[in-house]
Amino acid sequence: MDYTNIYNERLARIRDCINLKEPDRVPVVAKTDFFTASYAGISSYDLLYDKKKMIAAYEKIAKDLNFDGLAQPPFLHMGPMMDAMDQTLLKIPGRDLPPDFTYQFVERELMKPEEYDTFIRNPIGYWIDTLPRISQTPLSLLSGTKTLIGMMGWYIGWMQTVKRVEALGVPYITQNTIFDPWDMLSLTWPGMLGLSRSLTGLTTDMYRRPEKVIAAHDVLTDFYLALAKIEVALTGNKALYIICLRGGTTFLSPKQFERLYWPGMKKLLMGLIKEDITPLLLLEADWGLNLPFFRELPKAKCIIDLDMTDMAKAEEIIGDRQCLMDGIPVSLLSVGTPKQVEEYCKNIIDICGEGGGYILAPGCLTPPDAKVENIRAMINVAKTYGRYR
Amino acid sequence: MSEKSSIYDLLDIIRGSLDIVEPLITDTDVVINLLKRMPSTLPLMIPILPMVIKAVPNILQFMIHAVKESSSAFGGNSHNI
Repeated sequence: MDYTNIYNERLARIRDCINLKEPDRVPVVAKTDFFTASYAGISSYDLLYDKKKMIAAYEKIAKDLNFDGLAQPPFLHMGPMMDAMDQTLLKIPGRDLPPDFTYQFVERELMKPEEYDTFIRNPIGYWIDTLPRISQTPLSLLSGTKTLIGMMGWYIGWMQTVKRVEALGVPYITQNTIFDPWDMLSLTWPGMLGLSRSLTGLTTDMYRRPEKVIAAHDVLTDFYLALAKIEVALTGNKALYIICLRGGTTFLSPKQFERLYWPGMKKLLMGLIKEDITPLLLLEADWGLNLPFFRELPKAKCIIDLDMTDMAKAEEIIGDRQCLMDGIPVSLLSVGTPKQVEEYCKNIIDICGEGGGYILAPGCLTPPDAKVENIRAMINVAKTYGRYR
Repeated sequence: MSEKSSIYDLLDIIRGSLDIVEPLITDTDVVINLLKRMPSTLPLMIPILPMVIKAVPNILQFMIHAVKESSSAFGGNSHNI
């Protein structure tokens, strides 16, 4: 079967939303994450370690659920790469955790406050010198080669998944991903270099040495802006997922946000927009009080993907400027009923859907215990209640 | 690092390499597209070039250390044994 027309139709629907135009109906986008595994009847461990099973699981979910797009960061099939690094940053299902769990981040302080200057002066040198802090294996040519091959295998596997999903008529919206440079001050993720000052360390630094925080944030912003452009050139996909975990109202007051966070984020976003790259900002937790800053961005250039922010407030603050996405609590998808999901989705479409510029999706990455009937209810609401014409 | 772990590393490298070779047959276009796009990433690396240049001594030290570790794993002397 040729899915080209369906693919183009779905992509046009999403593009209309980004351009704040009214499509034929509200698009529904999935961020299936470890739900992919439970849906396909494989374990989270398989999703991380078995490429063939992972691709088959994505094909199954793309074929069965008929959503309009996939916005999933490339965090799956990372097992071999993480093992090669012998990393200590994540606990892995099937190895450190039960096989059906999601992986768990281990928060630790890896950089000392007196090391800011070393990093600011020579960031790559700092990362190279401090690699042993995130790996349990002493560095050798063998372990280095193994890590490099693991990374290449992961990346090519990811590109294969994108190809298969798109061949089934589902646009893979964001084939590129970075973490918010601000987050990389306090953490490090396998394959994404950060400072790992930890949340406690960074919070203390914000008061005791704010000028160092600003300078290090600026270095990280420049680095990740360059990296993002390289990623985009490599995939040919002009959208970029930016995972923002620690810039919301939960962590920063508007005053702190304005001084410490926004200059870096604005520089990053303007740099991307200048290159015609569409940033998709996954704003985890509540960002309500800090959303007004995003009004400074040029109109219709981003997707603002919200997790726990009040959607009515978000629509009021920024709905006329950028495309909004999400709003459905993932807990509702796990413990709610299809009726509750339906009501929630209808309400959110009433609030945000008018005139276009809204994409229905789960508030965060879908957990493995989400109920299939709830996911189907969400998709169904977009296709029936979300119709404009 | 012991000789045993080095053998496991080698096996992992072979296994990982097969993971890369397989798409060359099954998804040739994916690999070709990546290779085709690689040259266009080169000018985009210019902004981080100063960072790389500053890190040259660290990179060299890193490589020397890696070579020493590898030779020790196959019977040489190392403080890590």
